[in-house]
Amino acid sequence: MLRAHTAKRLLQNVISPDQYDFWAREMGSITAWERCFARVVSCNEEAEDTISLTLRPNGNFPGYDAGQHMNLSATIGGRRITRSYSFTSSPDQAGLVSVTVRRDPQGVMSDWLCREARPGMVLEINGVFGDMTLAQIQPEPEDHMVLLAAGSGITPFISLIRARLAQSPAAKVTLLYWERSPAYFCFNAELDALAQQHTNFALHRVTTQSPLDGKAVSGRIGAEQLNDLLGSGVSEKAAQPLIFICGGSGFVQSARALMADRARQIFAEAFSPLKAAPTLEKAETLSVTLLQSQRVLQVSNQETLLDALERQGVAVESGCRMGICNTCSCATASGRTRDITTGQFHSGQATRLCVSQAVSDLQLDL
Amino acid sequence: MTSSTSRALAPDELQQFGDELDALKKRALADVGEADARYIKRILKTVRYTEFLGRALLFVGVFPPAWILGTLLLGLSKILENMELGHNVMHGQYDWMNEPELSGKTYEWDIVGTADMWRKTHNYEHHTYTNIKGMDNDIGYGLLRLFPEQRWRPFFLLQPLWAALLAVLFQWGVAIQDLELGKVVSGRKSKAELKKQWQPLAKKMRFQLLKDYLFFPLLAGPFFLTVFSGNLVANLMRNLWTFMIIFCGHFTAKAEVFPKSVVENETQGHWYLRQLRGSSNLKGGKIFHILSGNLSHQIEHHLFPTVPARRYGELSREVKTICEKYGQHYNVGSLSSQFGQVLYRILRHSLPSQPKPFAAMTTA
Repeated sequence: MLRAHTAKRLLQNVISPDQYDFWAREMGSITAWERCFARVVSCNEEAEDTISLTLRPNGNFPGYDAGQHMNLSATIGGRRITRSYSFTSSPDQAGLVSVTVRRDPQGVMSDWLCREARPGMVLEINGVFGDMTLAQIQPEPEDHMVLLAAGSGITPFISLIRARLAQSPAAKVTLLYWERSPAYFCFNAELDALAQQHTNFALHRVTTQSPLDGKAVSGRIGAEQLNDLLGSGVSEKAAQPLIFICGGSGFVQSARALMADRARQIFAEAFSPLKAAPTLEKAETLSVTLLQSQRVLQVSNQETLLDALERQGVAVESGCRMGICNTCSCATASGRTRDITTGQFHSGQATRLCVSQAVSDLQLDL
Repeated sequence: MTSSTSRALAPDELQQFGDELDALKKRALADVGEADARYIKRILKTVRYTEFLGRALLFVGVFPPAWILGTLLLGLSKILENMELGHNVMHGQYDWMNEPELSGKTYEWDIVGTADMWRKTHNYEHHTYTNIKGMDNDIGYGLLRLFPEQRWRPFFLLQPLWAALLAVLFQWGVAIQDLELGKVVSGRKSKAELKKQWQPLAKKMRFQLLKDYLFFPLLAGPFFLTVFSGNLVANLMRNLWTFMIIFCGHFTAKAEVFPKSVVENETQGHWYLRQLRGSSNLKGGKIFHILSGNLSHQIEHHLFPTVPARRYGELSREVKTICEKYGQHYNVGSLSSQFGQVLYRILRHSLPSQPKPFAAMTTA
């Protein structure tokens, strides 16, 4: 380890990290100075419109906990696109990680991965995130965990359930899992095996469009349906289960409201694709999070981000104020902006603040 | 100031002129995509491979043909890296790719000056205030008198010598440009300010010097000197080439300079007009354009610095048509003719010369 460190120090005198990464790739290795590249080892069809990818990251991979997700980048049409995917593998599995991707016909990345992903292909991992982990939540062995998943919302739960039952084999776990039709259910073999091994694990699959196993379609999440599945009795707060919700933003919203009385605590994550390109005719106030200085500001979408930030006393390095010199360009971690000189919408790329207006809430690397 | 062969535009004409160029830029940017990404990655690959081959050949440089070829390849790599790759990437032309190694804000290049300083002096000052006397330090780099509007001092009598020195040491000239040593000497800039700027620069200079003149030569063991000399000549090649291309961009006979007053309430159209009048193009083949970082299309580069440079050649046809329509001179010539004009300026203005009165670019 020490020797590798010394070698790196010496090497740094003659080549830059980018050069090191370049030559490693030219020689067929995904080794990198700092960046975390990952090679696709296998791609399996998980369910209808859904694939599971197994990746082997290089030595810069930071590791993860069950329930977390990572930012995964791929170069699509010359552009590096980054999206978040939950780990569906077990953190105990050395050297390999898996993600499960549901194809969204409007989603650039998921559609591309489902069509193009092949063993040998190299992707990049940009950070591991997420607080919905057992280490963060620290449930007691006797706590009941109820997980509500819709569609790809199942992905963080498969690893969470696996980890919970490995840690506390007798812990009570209930999974309610909605899909539009039977062909879409993921992880069938593993979930069924867990249910068979652990009588304390209750598994309920629900379809919203076509029937499952001859049962009637029970439809989207609703109060009556939840009474059927979970019972209608409401116990006192301290004895109530921990609720986990994951799915599209509509599902998460409904589930949160419906479960509020049944939960000691709710943990939710919404996966929502970006909405269609909006116009800026309507004046709106949006929130901008400055990641480095840890500030949150309210800005209008009717002025440039540079003007808005400066008016609120943020010192932003800037130059020409006309989109020429690139001085005020800053990485945009999330959200959409519009370039007022071209009218083009951008997301997830460097933004020239002086000629850009906010279209959605933003996270800027400032 | 300089007399112009272009006609002054009426305000509404200026507006239309600007709108047409805006539309052209919009169209070019909307088309940017995979082909541009492939292109710049191919350039990057060429930079890396020519550097590797050049350095490898220099290791066996005791054999003269290997030394010559190695030096040429390394010089070529540095030229390509500085011009078509580094310079254009730092303008943010490829930021849309979201590729960390091609990010305009963080790219660092193979030259003694720091990329951060360049982003300030070049991207901001030179590109915003192009050819405005007193605002664009690229006019003579504080060392040369190229326009009669610059005040003559006896110092300039020897400027052919200063110019030759600047050409040979061009990367050093660019590196220390922002230190504004003249201001420090005359007391208009504090030593503390200088020190703050000097630290990152010194670090970069040390890295470049150690790399080319100590570590790579040491790696060659007994052939220390062949590698050392090859690296020295490769850097010299790059210095001379970049000096020539860059001087042809703004100091040809018909390139104009402007007084500070032009920036007051300057419109987008007026800014375009100033970029056009202050820049000059070079004719040449495809390889020549690439090796010049497409700065041979200096006019297009100044009009559209954030558009990928590989598109300038195509855009130049339309820019030329727009110039004809609005009676504006489109300054283009062969390298020998344009560089000849630059040399004439260096000689002519080493002696006292009188500026003509500045003709406004607009009629109102």
